Amino acid sequence: MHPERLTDLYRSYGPAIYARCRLLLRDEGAAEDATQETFLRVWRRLDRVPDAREALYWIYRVATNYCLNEIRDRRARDVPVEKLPEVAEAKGAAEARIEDRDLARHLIERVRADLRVVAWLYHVDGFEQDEVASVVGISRRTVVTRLADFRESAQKLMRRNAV
Amino acid sequence: MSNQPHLTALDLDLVVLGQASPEHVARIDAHSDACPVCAARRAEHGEHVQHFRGSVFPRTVEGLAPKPRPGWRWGLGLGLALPLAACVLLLARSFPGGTNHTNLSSQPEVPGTIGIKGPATVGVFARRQRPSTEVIKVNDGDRLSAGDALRFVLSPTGLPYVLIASVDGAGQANVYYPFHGEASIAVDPRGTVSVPGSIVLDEAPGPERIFVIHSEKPIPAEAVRAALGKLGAGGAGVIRSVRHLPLAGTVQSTLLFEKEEGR
Repeated sequence: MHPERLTDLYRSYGPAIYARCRLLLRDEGAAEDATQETFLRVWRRLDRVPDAREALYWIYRVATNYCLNEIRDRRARDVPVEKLPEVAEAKGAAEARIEDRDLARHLIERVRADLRVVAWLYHVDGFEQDEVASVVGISRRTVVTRLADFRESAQKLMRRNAV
Repeated sequence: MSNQPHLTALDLDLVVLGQASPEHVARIDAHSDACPVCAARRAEHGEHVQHFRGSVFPRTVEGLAPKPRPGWRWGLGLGLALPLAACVLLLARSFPGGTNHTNLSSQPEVPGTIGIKGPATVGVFARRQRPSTEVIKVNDGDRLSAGDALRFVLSPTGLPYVLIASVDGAGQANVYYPFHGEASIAVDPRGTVSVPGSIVLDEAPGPERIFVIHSEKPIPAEAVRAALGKLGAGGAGVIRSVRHLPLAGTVQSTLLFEKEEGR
């Protein structure tokens, strides 16, 4: 690929990647690093995909995985463990979305790795289940199962926090 | 919790990319006007986009190219590169079968065979992030992950030109060294070559086969890409099984690895 094409791709998709990384990491410098890492992982594919929607799906998948891993590593390095906020209305149907993004973030950071991306896309990004399936590359049935598992894990975490 | 549909990240990003239809933009605007949650998210998203365009992009675009980058990425300068090269030499002497190599003498099917002083061998090292940060020697068939960074150390063949390229499971051919080069690059034919910088693996899963192509004269990168393209068109099975490109007058070594998603 010609360097100018690479620059064009970065100019086009960089804002979306950066905005996502900022949302996930809540840190300007970390988001900047994550943006470059994500872009270096996806640029070849960005040049080949036929439309922006598919490119963004790929970006969401890669950037979310990367940033959630960063968050996990950050938590592993941190000594104090933040307490979960108390949310009385947290119990609900598996399909119910968590409105409070800070709560969603706290919960997602603490559940199994295979649940995190699905939970983030659904509860934070607001994707529908079939869209989550497209982004992650899994079946809708698996999305439903993982959301149910996430809900169960989240409720355990909140009960533990409430004690 | 609520079931009320909100704007998604996709809605916001399609607008930023200029890929949302006028009707779509109108729906987004209408929803933002009526929904304070989405209005706030849209405003935050817009701030991040502006920050990227105004600050991050200008500062980072120059250093972004996924070319073999200087040692800062690995913290590798001469201090580590030289010991690496020494390790490769030791490995090659102690464990002749331990270095990934392809010897031209075993490939008589290639026309224009040339004589060389020694077998073409390549040592490939990966700096991995998972499960922990470590540098490993990559062996044929190893599994690597997106984000792993590869370095190459080439043994002397007596041939003055080299080109490193690969084809991945998607059939994508890439020339890594010289990055964006039009042809092979001149190297010391009698010395071990520690290729500067590293290659960072992207997310495309599946097999990727790397070829190190030595030659007496420069080989056009386009010819290599064409050969790799044909190989890639055969699919993953062909990439895994074919260990030589039909390029006359070359000595080649090759390495296959399987790329896994995530890191």
